[in-house]
Amino acid sequence: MNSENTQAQMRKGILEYCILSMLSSGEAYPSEILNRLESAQLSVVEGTIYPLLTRLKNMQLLDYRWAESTSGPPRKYYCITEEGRVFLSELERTWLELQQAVSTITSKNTDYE
Amino acid sequence: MNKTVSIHLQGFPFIFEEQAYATLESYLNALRNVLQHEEGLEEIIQDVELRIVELLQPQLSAGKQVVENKHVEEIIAKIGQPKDFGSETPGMDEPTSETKIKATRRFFRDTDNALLGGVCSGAAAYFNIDVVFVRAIYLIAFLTFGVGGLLYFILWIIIPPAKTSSDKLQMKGQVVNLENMKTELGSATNRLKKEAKALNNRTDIANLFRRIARFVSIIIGVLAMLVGSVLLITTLIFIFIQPQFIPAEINGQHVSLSELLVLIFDKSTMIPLAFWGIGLINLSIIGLCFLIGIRCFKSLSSKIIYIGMGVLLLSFIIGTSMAATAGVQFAKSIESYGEIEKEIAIYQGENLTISPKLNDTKVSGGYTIKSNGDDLGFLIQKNNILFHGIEVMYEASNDSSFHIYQLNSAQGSSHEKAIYNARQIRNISFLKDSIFTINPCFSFPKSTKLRDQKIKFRITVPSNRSVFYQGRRIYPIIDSISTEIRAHGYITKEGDYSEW
Repeated sequence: MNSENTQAQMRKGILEYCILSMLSSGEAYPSEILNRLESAQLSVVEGTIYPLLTRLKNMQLLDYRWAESTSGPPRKYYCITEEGRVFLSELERTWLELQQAVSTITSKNTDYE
Repeated sequence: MNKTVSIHLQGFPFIFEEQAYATLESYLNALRNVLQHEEGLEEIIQDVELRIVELLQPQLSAGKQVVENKHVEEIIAKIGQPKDFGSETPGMDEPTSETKIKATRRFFRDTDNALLGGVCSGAAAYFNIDVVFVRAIYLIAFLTFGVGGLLYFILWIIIPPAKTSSDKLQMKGQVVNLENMKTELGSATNRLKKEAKALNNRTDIANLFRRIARFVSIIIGVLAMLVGSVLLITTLIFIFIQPQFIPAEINGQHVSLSELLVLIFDKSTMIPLAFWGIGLINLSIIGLCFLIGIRCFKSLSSKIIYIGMGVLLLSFIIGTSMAATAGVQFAKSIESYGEIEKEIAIYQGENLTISPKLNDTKVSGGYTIKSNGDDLGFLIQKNNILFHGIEVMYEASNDSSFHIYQLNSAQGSSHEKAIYNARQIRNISFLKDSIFTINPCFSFPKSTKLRDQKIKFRITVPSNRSVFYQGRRIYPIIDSISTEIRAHGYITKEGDYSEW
């Protein structure tokens, strides 16, 4: 396996967390979400977020509404649900723990070098 | 010059180059395939299509009208390859995905290579044999057994056509992936081109054929609906109104089917069985007519057709087995034949005269026949059934006397039963002086049912003697064609005599 795959997997793993977090501060439609991910230098394949959004919606962590757009097709504005917020807070805790653990481990490793 | 197709994506109209459209279709099909186990597949496809619209529109607003292949490829590159949509962990199961996707084979009608409905070519694709063999086998079976015609139409109705590329691949039992899909699409494009070329050359002929085909299908549809409607109305009338159409009178009125069934079956349980069995068979045929009829006008979803055919088949099977049970029971009850004979008179005079007894003929039990001359069948009375018409046979006598024998015959479930039924037949005919008065009607009790009861008279005639009927010699007379003596006669209830 090349490193690209591993990188892609790492990105995919945290994508859910990032999207929920993004939507916790206000609704957004898919292209907007993609733009924000891109501007944050978190490059993901667009295709991955459509199944992800639908899955999160089916888990009732997200909800959406249709809105007309002046410049194109109607847009699907996603917003976070109450359940989504609970889920997000759990993810946040896990993320912090992970971050701590990872940085501890990796810094130890660099010490050895 | 490039051909274009006009399509709608999520309600937005676009004009695509042929190649661009092929790329897009295979892309979306591949997406569906990868995501087929995903919950909310349609929603994801919708999202992707909306995104495609969103990405296409700015490209076209810059003065461009037609979506080119490079546009589609750019968009696919942006949105991502189908494999990226798949599992959470791309790359890990990617190499095995090829082997994981089972090549499912499904029976589709191959409308691309069809002569008629594509049933044979579909079967050929399914079994992976040459279509010529399938057609040959079908034709031989059709000509030999003669059942294939209806079967073909039933298969035409229930088997869905291979519409999409993935259908066509499944029809051939190939794995549905992007590679195969491209090949299939490529051949589809070629086919389209070929057809378009051919169409240009003979557009008029093709249109004519298409119109004829449409016309024929409408005719078939209308006919099927018509037959179905007539059958339906008839069946409903039979079930609910019970028309008295059978010319066997009860109190001056004809009898209905269920009244007749009472006179046919030994066991009363068989009557509703036969009645509703026939009704169910009729209803399933009616249903088939309507299904064919509707199918000729509009396309039905295969689900509706499957359910419809299932219900119809079930009701046909149930109806047939009900009617068959009753039929077997009836066949058993008429299995044996019984005949009895009795000498009823001897006459030693010169010539015998037969005279019919017509009006107010008394039959057994003190009943009186009121012959009104226009009833065709038999007469059902309170306890008896009355039949008309009596056969007379002549033979040479062994002595110098006329001997008159009465023969009663009937069917029954056993020989004893048949003999019993034959013994129940009553007829009053008598000899007085030189006149043998024949009553051309006979009766038997209703309880013995209709068991092909018959009465014959056998008359032995001494040599050089004759039999007369209403002043006319009826025996012996020579047939002008066969030059043999006519030895049979028949007396109708009106008293008309005919010999042969």
